[in-house]
Amino acid sequence: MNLHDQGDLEQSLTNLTQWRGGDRQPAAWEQALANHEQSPRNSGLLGRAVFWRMPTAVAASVAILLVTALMIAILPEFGKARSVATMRSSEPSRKQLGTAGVSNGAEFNDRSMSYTNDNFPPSSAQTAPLPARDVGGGTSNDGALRQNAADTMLLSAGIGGAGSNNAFPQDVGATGGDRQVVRKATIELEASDVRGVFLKAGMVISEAGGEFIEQSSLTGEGDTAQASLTLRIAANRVHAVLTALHDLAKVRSETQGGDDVTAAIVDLEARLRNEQRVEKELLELLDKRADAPLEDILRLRDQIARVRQGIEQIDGQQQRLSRLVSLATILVIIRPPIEKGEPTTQSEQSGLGKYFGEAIKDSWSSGMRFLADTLGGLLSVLVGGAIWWIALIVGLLALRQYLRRRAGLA
Amino acid sequence: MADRDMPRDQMPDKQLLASFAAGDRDALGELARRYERSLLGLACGLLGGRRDLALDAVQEMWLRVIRFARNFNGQSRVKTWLYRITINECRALRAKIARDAKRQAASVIHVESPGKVSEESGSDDAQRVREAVGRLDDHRRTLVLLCYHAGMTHVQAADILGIPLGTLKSRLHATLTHLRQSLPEEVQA
Repeated sequence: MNLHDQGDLEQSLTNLTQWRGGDRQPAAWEQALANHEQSPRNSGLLGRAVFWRMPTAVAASVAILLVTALMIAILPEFGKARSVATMRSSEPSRKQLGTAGVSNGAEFNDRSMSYTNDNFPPSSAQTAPLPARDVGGGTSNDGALRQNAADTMLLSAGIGGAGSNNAFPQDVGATGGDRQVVRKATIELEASDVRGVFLKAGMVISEAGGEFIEQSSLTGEGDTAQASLTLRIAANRVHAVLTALHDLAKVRSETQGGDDVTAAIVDLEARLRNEQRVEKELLELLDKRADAPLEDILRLRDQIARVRQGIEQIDGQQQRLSRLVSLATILVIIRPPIEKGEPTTQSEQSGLGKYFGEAIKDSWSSGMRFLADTLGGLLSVLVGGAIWWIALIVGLLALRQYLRRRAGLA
Repeated sequence: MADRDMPRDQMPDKQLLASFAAGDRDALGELARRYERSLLGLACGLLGGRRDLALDAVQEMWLRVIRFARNFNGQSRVKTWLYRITINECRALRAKIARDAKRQAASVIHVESPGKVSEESGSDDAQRVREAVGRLDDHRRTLVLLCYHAGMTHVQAADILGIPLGTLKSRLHATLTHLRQSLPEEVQA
């Protein structure tokens, strides 16, 4: 046989794919059928469900969970949501606060503002790490809040304006650089033990650092107790003191602000230099005209005295401003929880029916809020992670195509 | 009604598959009667004459048919489907054997080892052709064996391989030329 001959080679190739098994049918199909029926995955509906449906369902669930987790990890909205959730979980329930949803919203806004302000601490505080609750932020909304806060501070100080880009860094260096800012903060705490928190709040100051309690008051007892403290704190410790106050009790509201007194200080310095120059000239004149008439000399002395008085006044104003700049003012207000006031008496007066009504109403609004949050979260996952869903679908389609091709279905 | 009364040996393949999917085991037997021997032959050729592997491949093919009979969408002929599955199974088996051989660092891939002893007995010429075919790459081997498989037309082969007829012919020509060149010179004499 010549295999280089077309016919011989073709015949050889044909022979290669011939089954030489005699007349007996191999019946591989019977063996396959027997194997298939013996397989537990094919033993009834349960077997099929366990061996075919379950792995598919589990694989699909795992894939969906992975994509969802990925989106939660990377979507900034979820970072913010986490921080809000953490903040909410650390707070008492709305019922405990005794405030309506609207007031809670206002409170949240206050917090946002305060946290934004935390990002502009004076001098040393600006090198401190951001508070943990702010780490999850970084959204465009936060950016807007920061800009708003910066604008608010600048407007209150009478400088800059909305959208003033260079105002932001200037304000950050509140007591450093060229800017001289008088910082003020107000924090409202809610505590059952007003007296205890009042005493603890008074201990957050550092007397060695020149800090002191400017004013303090504690009125009432038990549920009607109220207290307030005006703390004078080193400007670079505002953030640390506020953090310490946060740890003492629940924070109901917190605001921070600052007055830029740079212009006033510059003005005082100019006036001081001017007065000092006038005083020097008058003294020189007095020396040169020692032989002048007594009346003229007395008039000159009067003028020198007036100038000296002016210099002393300016010096005093400068010192006062300097003290204000170096020591920030924190007003601490401590109140008992509101629910122990009016709402309790109302519920006591309303009877059992009203109590259940309120409970059902609260449960209903909680449920609706949860539903809204869940839907919002789902929408965020679906819309925000669209690219990942598309990737997952494409991947699953490719896998399906591959499996079908393997099975010979394609 | 008439279709249901039709004898199995006269039923078209598609109907047999549908009957099997509906629970008629004998319908699969009829399909096997029609194609199993041919499929075993092809698998045997693709697997270097290893009858045991060919039986495994065809058995696995039937398992897939049993599993996916309900999903058969009729986009291709049943025969084409069976051949495609068989070819895929043979490829998977060869890949598995190659992997195992690599893992054991031993050249035990009978289908590609020159001078190996096949279970399939045959003349020296047949053995040389088998070895030459075994040295071809996977696609060429499949193409040439499928084209010269008994009863297979080029149109059917092109359909099974999913390539145009013209492409199949040109590739077949090139493969045959390559195959002739790779055969030992003494065979020519």
